[in-house]
Amino acid sequence: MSLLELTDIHFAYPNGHSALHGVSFALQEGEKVGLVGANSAGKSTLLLHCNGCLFPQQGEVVLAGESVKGTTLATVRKITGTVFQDTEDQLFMPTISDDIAFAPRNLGLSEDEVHKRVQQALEAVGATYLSERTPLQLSGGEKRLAAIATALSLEPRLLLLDEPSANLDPKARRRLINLLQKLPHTMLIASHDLDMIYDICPRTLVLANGTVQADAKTVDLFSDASSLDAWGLELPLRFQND
Amino acid sequence: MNSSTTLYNLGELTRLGSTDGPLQRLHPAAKLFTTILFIVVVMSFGRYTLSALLPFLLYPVVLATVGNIPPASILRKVALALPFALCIGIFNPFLDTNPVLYIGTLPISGGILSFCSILFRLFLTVSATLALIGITGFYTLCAFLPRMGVPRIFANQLLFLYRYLFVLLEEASRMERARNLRTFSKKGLGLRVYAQLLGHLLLRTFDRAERIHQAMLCRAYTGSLPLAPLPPFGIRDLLFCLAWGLFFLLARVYDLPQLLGHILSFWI
Repeated sequence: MSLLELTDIHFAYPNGHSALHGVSFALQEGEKVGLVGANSAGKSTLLLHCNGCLFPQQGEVVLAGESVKGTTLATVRKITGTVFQDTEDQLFMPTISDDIAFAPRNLGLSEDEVHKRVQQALEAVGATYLSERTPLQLSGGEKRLAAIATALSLEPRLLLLDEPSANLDPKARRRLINLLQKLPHTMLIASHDLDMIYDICPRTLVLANGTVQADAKTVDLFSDASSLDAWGLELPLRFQND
Repeated sequence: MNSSTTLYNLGELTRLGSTDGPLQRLHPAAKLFTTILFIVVVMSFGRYTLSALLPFLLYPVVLATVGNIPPASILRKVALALPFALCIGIFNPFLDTNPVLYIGTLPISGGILSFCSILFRLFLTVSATLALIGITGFYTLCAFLPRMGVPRIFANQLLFLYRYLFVLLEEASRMERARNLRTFSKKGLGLRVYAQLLGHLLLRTFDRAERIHQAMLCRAYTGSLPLAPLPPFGIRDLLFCLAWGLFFLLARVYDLPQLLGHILSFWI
């Protein structure tokens, strides 16, 4: 059974903009899948369907055997961890440890368990030193690590990441790639950073005009310059000099 | 003062709030109740009182000194609150011209005295409140408010206001910079552009609020903000309250500077 399965998803925003029409794909447990596409292709909208922030107007999202709808949201959100594009939106508590503890406390876990989860999440991203800092004092790279830790504290089965490498310097970006390679979670990563997707995800979905245009091995997709061009993308930097 | 400086000044107290120290380790209830008591006692004096208020300076001074808060950072923020006191008391010297005090042969009118009293009380209460935030941290105070019976939603609103004030100011400062770079030291298009900038800022705030709410929902948020547990109220906290309470009582009942003056003149 797939961990995540989307079947014929249609969604239009209230202003009439049709973001998704007829998206279908499935993710197996342990898979790391890239989600690429030009601006306004519908990547972020698609991620918001996977965690129940948005509901499809047609079609169905099934997560761990349960249909994502109003009545199953509590279960859905226990098993998905989302890392938003703008870390300022994600880090809303005064200190990083409070922010990481936010979800475990909401789940009603004991303070000992909350503390353990915070430590584990910070250790997983290699940022235990951030524990008592406030988001204001953090660099872009540190904020990203903290944002990932907030998602990990839920002990999710599925990690949804929206542009995780945006605004990072080269070293911070490399640390992030190493971290995401190391984490054992099932991941769906939306990004314009094709080199990062190439490093992390063996499989990639290409989204264009609200539909999945291609679902194949990353290595095959990213070496096809003409198709990438047609989808509003270009060859990853590492292939551009060949 | 541009918005970046404002941002830095506001952030200053947050950073001090997280520093460890003997006052920082006290229970927030002890510090909050003592400061509320301080404010009530200071405000309870008559309108012409000035000398009897002087001993109360000790409280903010001790909080700032032991709490390791630079006095300059507090004074700058007190200055921000000054216009409010000026608005309240500025007409007193014109309305109440009866002399109530003579310094040598110089008559001091009741209006001037009450105006000075208002300014001094503002200084005492605002500096004590700022020192309280500095040594307790805004978050810890907000975490304590619901336990005092303040509706949770107000505490949450306050917390979010404080967290996102900096983000909003940063956004505003970026927009201001972008405008300045293309106005070539002129005033740009004046108020009309400012109105548009504010409109944009408001729309961005709506967008951000929606994204934050989504981020909260993704982490099992169900309507109440989970706050960290506080340590128990200990004997040190009780002693802090009692010692200051006693001092406030003494300073309220006796005019300590006048008493000191009498003792000194007696000795001399």
